[in-house]
Amino acid sequence: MRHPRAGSVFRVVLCLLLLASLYLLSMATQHSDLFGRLHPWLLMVNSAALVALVVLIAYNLWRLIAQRRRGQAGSRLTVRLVTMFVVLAVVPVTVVYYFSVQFLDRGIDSWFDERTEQQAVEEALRLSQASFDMRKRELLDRTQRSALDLADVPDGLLPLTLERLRNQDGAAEITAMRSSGRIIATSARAPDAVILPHRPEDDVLLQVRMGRPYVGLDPIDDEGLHIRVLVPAPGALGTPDQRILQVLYPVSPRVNDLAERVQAAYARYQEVGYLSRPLKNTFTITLSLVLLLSLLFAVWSAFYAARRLVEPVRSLAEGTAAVAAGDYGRQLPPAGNDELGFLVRSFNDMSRRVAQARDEATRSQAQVEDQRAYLETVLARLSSGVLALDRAGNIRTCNRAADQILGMNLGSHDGKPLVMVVKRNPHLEPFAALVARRMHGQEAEWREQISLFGPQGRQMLTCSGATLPAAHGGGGHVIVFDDVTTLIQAQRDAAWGEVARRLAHEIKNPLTPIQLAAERLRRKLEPDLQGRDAEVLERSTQTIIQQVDAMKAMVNAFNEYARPPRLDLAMGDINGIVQQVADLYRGGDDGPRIELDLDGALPGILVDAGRIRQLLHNLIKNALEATSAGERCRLRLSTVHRQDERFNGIEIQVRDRGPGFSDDVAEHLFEPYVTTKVKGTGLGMPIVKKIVEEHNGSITAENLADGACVTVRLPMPELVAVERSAEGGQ
Amino acid sequence: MNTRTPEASAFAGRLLLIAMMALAGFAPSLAAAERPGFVLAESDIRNDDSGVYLSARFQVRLSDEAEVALESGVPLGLDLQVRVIRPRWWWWDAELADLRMQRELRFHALSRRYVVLNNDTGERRTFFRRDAAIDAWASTVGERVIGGGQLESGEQYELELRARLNPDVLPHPLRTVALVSPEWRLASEWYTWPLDG
Repeated sequence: MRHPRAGSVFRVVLCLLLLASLYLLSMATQHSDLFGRLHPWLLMVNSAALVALVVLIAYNLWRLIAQRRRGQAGSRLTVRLVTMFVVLAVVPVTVVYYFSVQFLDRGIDSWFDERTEQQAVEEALRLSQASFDMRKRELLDRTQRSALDLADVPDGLLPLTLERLRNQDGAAEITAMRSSGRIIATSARAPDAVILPHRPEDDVLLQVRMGRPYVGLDPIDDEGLHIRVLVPAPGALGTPDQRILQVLYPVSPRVNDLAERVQAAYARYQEVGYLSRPLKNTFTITLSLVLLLSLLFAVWSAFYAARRLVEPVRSLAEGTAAVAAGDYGRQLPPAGNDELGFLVRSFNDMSRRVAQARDEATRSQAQVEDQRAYLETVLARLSSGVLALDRAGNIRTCNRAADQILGMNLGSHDGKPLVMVVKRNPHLEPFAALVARRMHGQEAEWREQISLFGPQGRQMLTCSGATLPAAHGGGGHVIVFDDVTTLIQAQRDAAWGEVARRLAHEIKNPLTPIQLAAERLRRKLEPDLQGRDAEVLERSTQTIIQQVDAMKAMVNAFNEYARPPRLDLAMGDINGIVQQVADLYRGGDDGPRIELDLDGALPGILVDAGRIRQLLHNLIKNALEATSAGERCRLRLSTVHRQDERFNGIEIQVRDRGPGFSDDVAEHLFEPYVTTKVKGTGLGMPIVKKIVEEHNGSITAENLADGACVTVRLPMPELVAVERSAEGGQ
Repeated sequence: MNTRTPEASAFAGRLLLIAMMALAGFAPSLAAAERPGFVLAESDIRNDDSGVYLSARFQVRLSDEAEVALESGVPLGLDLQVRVIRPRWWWWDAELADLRMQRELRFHALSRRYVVLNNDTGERRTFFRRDAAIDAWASTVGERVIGGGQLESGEQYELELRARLNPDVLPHPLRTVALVSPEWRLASEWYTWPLDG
């Protein structure tokens, strides 16, 4: 981009040159000799400048039109300014031009239309001519008389005669010639003229040859005006050829001088009169050129001035558009010290600050993002479920643990009301109801435990909530919950294990002495007693022994239940184990009828085969015991390899056609001493659960339409392997 | 005009033929003489040991503007431009001579005569009839164009001639007009004759 100051200097220099040229043109027009010679050249130079200006203006115009078509910022304002400037320049200049031309036209016309002067000059000329005409007539007469003197003068004597006649008539030169124009003799006052007399022109000779004398005024070289008279002269006797006598009479110096002046004045007046038109044209051309140049220069300058004026506005418009489009921090070139410059500076300031604010905001946003990512990471690593709701009860944030505990993907329901979300999972409705109630209660903090009944069985949740700060339109509620099912279960199991261990320890020790004592009592007293006493003794001791055995069995069961886990893991084939156990029960018509539905593509799994067998025994026994007397037990054992995102392992199902679990039993099915049966220790199902848990599996029991179903899930070896290595490490 | 010296007659005879041929070539130009301007009417080139001499007369048809100006006392200047060149195919032609014969024609109102002034010699001739004056104005007789020693024998030269109304001698106001008006741009074409060195 060219420096604006350089552009201004260029224009000023150009303007001065143009003015100088126009001044010279004006001088030249005023008949100055020096500039007069330059006038055509000046005209040409100025015309060239005119053409150059036209080209420049055309270029500027074309550029402006192109900018306007492109819709460039500021082009509309430039057009308006240029139009305004041009109108401002053209109108006064046109008015001045019109009146100048009129004035010039009429001024020159009126100057040359001075009738009196013109007439005076013409009259003077006529007078001079009339005066000369009289003189000419006289001289003609005199010459004709002199010509008569040539009669009978032979050619040889002519010089003398002519000399005499010249002196007599006061002529400057006298020449006798043949009618053909050949000079016979001459006599002249000036010595040069004797050698080279002033010959008449051919037309005059012709006229004289035809017998008509000629008399005329003749301006001869430097000698001034002369009156030239040619008359036919008689020839010498005997010569057929006629002679011609030419006499040049000088005009007296004073008359000559006056006549020359009159002639000069007339010629000058005629010339000037004739030149009035070209003079007018010249003036008009000069004036037009001056005005056109000034005008075009003004128009060209109008483009420049408009551009200079609009440049900051255009920059501002572009800058504003850029800022509007998000390009903050755009800086415009400085635009002087006027109000526009102030505007540009203010814009630059504003743009800079906006950019700073944006950077600040970006930094803050990045910090917030970092914070959020940090929080999310922390939340994701939390084993407790965290759920944040806004004031309307819509889900705002939740972590992975929340999804796992509640068994659904809460994250995909971001922004939806919790109440609506749980409609698909009816077992979560108590949870939603609890949250709604607590939120409605406007409590700052709360804590509560609830139990849910889902597909995984009973689930105990410890929930605690708090109201979020309501600043900046936030607010809402955060709920932290833990699945304490396992914990509570473990606590119960531990308590029962302790009871069983103590029972085994406290009860088992006296049982053997009791049994031994009863047997000794019977052995000692049996020989001494007869009859009914012996029978009573026998029955009593038998009863004691039997009951002690029963108690021993019970204590052993307790012992079994309280036994610390000691697994003997090996890669086992679940299908094989199921098959073996089922075969044990197949026998006899009154035995259970067992159907097997085994998955042929079951992978191997790390299990303690003995424990799994015990698990199956317990389950089958449980089913058998639940079967009403007199009915044949029908069992269906199935295995399947499940592999989805939540579980990867083997599922074993035992289904019977029994009465199913009653509601009060179902809740504490896997706790000891929960049984509906007459027989049994009440430890079958708790042991089953214990075995499953030792394998890191899960067990659920549910009632179906035609019986009960217990599902055991054993996870795949990876987890078990990890568990084993952890165990080995300990 | 025909002021031939006997020793140059051999050359002149040949050159006269050339001149006649040239005139025959100019015939269409003569027909076009109705247009204002200058057309060569007669010419004679004499080439002898002392130099090359040119005689020429142009037929003149003044434009209306020029005629009015003449009658109004405006002097009309005529330039007879003569050049002798040696054509060169490999470079611009070499110019051996460049002559400008200047004549002036004006009307003397008091005597009602036309005055023809030869600016080169200062000779002044007056004419009662305008056509005679114009004839004298637009002609030259026996003008020495180039010295005899300047032409190398065996070389081929060309002599060029043209007549042109000289706008420089016009009054100032007319000069500007003469620049732009075709009425004042009166000039003949360049007439060319071959010259033997």
